[in-house]
Amino acid sequence: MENRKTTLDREPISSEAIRGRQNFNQVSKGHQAMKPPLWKSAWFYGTVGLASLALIVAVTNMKPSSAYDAVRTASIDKEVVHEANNQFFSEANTTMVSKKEKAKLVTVEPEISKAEEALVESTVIETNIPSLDKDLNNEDPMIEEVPVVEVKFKEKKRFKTMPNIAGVFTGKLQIDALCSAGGLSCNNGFTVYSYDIQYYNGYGDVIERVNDDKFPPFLCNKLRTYNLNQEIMITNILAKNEEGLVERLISMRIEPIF
Amino acid sequence: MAVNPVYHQSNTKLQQEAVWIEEAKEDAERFGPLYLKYHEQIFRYVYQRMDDRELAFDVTSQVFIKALSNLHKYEFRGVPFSSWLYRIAKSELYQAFRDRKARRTVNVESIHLFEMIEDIDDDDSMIHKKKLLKCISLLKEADLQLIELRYFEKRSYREIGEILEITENNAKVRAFRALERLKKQFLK
Repeated sequence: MENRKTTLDREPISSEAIRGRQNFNQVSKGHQAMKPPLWKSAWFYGTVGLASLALIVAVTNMKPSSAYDAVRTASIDKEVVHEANNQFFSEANTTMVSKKEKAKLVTVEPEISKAEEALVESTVIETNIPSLDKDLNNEDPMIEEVPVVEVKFKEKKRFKTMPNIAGVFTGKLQIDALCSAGGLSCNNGFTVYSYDIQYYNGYGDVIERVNDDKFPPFLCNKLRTYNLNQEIMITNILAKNEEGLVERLISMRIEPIF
Repeated sequence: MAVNPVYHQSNTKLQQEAVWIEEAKEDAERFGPLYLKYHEQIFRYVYQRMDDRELAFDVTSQVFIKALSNLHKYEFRGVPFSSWLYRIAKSELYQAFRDRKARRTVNVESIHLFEMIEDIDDDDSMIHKKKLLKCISLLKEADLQLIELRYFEKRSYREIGEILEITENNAKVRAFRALERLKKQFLK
């Protein structure tokens, strides 16, 4: 061999010299240095791989079902509506109405009494709630904030007291029944004590204020003479119960017939 | 021909060695007894094949570091642990030769040469001694390994087989053929 050296009778090395060079610490350090780092070990890859797989599976399984989505959506919708209602009722100084509903706004006469004011407040709220629903559902609501009146919401003013004449609230009613009956009556223990009546008196439409629940004779004559088969409007009907609570009732539309 | 008695161990010693190995697999610090037991053998094996003493110590240390790092792969088969270490040493040696850190050296003692000459030829003159040295240096590496292991280091065929990863009979046949080639070269 070209790079081979042959040595004859080389000086032998003693066992003591060899043992003197033994160094196990050096071997241990060399072994530690040769150890692969943790991230190169199979344990590391196995553990990290399994953990990643478990995470992916967990995330995939956590996707909500369609049934859950439906329930959740319904719940969110309820929350949105509830928040909208809260926002509406919390705005005491302003009322949100659409431009289309402006004409329907109720104006409050300044001379009415405090009891009547309460009735007006209830009426305003009841008429404006539907308009809010319309505006919420409208794609082009054109909503603007219009200061109308200082309204203090009182939930307890929600009586379903209905006026009637001989059991008729609206529609056709014989003139005899209209005039001979006990006048305007209502349920819930309320008694009508005042109302406005709009009719034709031979010259034009007039509004008479009647402070009674009956139809006065002269009014019956006018109705019998000029208003058969014509609608008359009974508005601003005020009633009170035994406790003295006053309530403005819904207007009536009656067509007297012969 | 007398053989190296170090290789041959009683069953008790082999069992003790197996216990050390198992302990060292659990804790590398328990490798100490094996290191102390085989350090000199491995060093002499390495130093026999190179002329740089310091480099021989370095290679020996590297052999034990490799052994410790790969100990988990070792399986006890009823033969001394040194067989496995010799195989690692052979690998590290040739790696050192390839890296040109060390030069392949054949260290021969005169007494071994005379024994060989006796086997080859009855004449033991100095002329034959020089000629034999030259013939040895011209041997192929595989033949030289067998001559070294068998005639210079006095190892048994069983141990040679363990080191070269061949059977005992194969080691015997190969060693005979290597000697025949040396003889043919010598008598040319």
